[in-house]
Amino acid sequence: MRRAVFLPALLLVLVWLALAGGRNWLGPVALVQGLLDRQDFLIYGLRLPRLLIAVGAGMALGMAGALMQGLTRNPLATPDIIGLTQGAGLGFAIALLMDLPLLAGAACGSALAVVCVALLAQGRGALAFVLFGIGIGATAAAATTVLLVLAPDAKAARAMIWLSGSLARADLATAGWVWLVLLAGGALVALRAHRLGLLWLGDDVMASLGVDLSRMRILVLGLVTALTAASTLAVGPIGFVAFVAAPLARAISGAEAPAIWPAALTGACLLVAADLMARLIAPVAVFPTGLVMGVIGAPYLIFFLWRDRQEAR
Amino acid sequence: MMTNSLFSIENLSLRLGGRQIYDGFSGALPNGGLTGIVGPNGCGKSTLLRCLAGVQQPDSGRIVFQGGPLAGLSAVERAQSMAYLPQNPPLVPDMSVAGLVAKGRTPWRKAFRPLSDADHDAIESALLATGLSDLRATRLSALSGGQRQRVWLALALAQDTPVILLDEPTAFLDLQHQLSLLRLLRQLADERQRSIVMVLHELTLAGRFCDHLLGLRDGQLICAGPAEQVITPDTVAALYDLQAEVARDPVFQKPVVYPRE
Amino acid sequence: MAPLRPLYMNLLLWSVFALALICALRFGTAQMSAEALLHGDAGLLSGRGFRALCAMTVGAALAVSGLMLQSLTGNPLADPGITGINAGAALMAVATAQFVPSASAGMVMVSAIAGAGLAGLALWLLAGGDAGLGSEGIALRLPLAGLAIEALCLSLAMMLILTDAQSQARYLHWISGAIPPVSRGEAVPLVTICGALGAGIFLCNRLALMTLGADQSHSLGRNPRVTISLTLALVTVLSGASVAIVGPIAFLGLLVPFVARGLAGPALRRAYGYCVPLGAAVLMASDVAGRVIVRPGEIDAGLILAMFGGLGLVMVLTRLLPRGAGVRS
Repeated sequence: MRRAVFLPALLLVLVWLALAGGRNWLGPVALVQGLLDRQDFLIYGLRLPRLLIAVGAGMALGMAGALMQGLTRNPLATPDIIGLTQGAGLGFAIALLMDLPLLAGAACGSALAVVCVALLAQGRGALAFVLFGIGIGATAAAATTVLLVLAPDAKAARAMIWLSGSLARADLATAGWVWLVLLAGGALVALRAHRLGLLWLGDDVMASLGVDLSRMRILVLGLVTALTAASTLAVGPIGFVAFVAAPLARAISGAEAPAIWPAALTGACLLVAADLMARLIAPVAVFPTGLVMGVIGAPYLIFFLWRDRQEAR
Repeated sequence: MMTNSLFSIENLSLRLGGRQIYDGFSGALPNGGLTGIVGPNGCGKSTLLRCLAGVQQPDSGRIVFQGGPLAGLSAVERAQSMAYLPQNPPLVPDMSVAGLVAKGRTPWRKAFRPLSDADHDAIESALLATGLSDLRATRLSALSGGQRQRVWLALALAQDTPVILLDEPTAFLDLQHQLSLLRLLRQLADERQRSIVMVLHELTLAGRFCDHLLGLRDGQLICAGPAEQVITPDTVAALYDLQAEVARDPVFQKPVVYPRE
Repeated sequence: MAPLRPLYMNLLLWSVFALALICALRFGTAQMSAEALLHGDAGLLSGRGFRALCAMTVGAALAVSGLMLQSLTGNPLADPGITGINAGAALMAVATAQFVPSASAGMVMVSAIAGAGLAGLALWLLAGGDAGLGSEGIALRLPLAGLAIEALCLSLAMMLILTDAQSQARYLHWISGAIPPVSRGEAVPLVTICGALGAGIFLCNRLALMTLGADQSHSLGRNPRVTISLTLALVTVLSGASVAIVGPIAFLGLLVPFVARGLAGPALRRAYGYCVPLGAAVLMASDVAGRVIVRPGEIDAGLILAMFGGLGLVMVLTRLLPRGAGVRS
């Protein structure tokens, strides 16, 4: 129980730091005053929208990762590794260039990616899912870059910032979309919490305990697609958050797999922390948040593989 | 078609992995008591059990469960009527024994509600029956293979269903635990009026504990009936290609198989 | 597919190479007729010629590097790009260029090779077997370890690039795999690659012997450890030098060896011979495509390859992982 409090507490601390920190550090009193004053530009114009997006997208990615890992019973099969974030990115880029609704584009992109991977990997064994996902993800990422290189300058500039995973242009409207999808998804997860808790027990046991397997798969994949699309819309294709969140959450809080809520909190913590670091380094060099997340997340994947290797020996 | 049968299988056909496992198979399992399904490996015993559990859909034919079509039940209704323990339960990420057993209550739980008193009672009862009450807080990774098998059994018991289907429940257990598990199942059948169907590979144990036996080979029903009548040298030869004697054991007067080769 | 005799296959592949070379010289960002090209600005032709030279050398190098890596690890998905070796080389190259501004092209190449070596070491630690080949668990660990190493090295490299406002544009271009249009000291890496390619042929026999198993290799007088070290050295030299010229390119070392081995059968030396013209042709073709498709703009060859390479990986996987593998019996 004590461990369960740790994650929310950590998130609150990070939220505080994110609002207080930056080029102008706000002490506690100044921060509270700023929050109370709706006209305060620093808080309401700059930091709060950015924070809202970071928390929302982080939670969405964390949840999507936990759900995907549970459905496939494979800690390596997360939206960022099997190409869903890249697919959402491609969908977003196409929608941007063709002046179509952006969230719909991102959602179609990630849906298409998951369908392709699922169809290709069917019947080929457990590894296939991840491997095909890597291939589809690489293709989508490259195609996205190519599209944006070809884009007319006006859109290209904004898209380039988004592509690198930057929250610099965060606005409340986008935050609103992310939170809408997050809350809807969260409600569904809460409704089906008991069944979702069975994910890691295997298809047979799940069926035996009264779960309609095909409906469960559609539910989970739908949630994962929507959550991935929403977060990619807001912060661009950011890797590693979805992959790291659930295992890290379980390590910190001891929660039982699939640990969907702890993963959401962990994802939010990671993204807020990465964004804070990016902002603090900004006077020296402008690093997009996605880059910072890569430098945090890649070593974790390395550590995971290393430990997995030690255990296999 | 017996109206008081637990399961009635009509014309079951199923093709899996490129092989025709069942082709127009028909049979029945009686209500009440312990029913064993025996036969050589790879003959489709597990597959039949999965069809009975509703986990595997046959290509054609139907299964009648307690007088009504099995396919007509919703997933939840089915889960509240029968529990199924597969042959190799997966390695789940670490959780406590009580945590895993509590999963067995899922078919009874409503959204947003915590575990009710009835849920807690069922879990306690299941832990007690499998002798795991002291280990309730232990992590699964700290248990032996046999203990973990008992946890899975406790999960099936916590589901509190009138029918329990078990696929080789004695697979990882040493002899002592095999016997205690089978004795437990015997007790559940006698005292709590559960119907238990199990796939067993050990013919002598099946003969000792089961009321009714079904012998399968290559998707064909070789023999069916009370255990004492079904285990004969002829049926052993038909099932396993084995020349054997069948005698009564001195303690329980149950059939024991003595291979002659 | 009936295998063609090696002679004819070589003729075919080198013809493909010649065709690609002609295209590389004939077509480009500037639209010109053939006559205008030949009689006109010699600078343009020689510029394209230099580009083609870089592309063919690097293409051959990466293809061979991938081939040797695949043979060494027994994993058909090994590729210096997606295993992070090229990314490691890129990181060291950028770091050297940033922190040692006076570094010569040769020095940058050496540090790129060192970077490739370090990345290769990390890969081995995370996913490699020991002296043996093709250990079971390598199948998934390798691409994932590669993904992690690649992500880490490229992120760090990007960070270094972003801190340098002046050369940023050039480096950003280079890091997406761009063939250099003008010579800036590429002579050293180019020569190194050629030398390595030539020397590498002699390694084929030893490596092929090793696939029989370490013990047999030993008894036939060839120490497997030496073979492994030499192969890794070859891979890192080829990758490092290539990255020093054109930046990190992925998928070339995955797809070309796959095709080459399909054509050559089990003969490693033959596959080696096929990789050279095929890899050269593919990279030249990608470069030309990038220049022609979006005139007057340009898409870097690395991006073109990444796009089709991802699809290529999917197709390779379709071949490698047959359906029915995961059906329960």
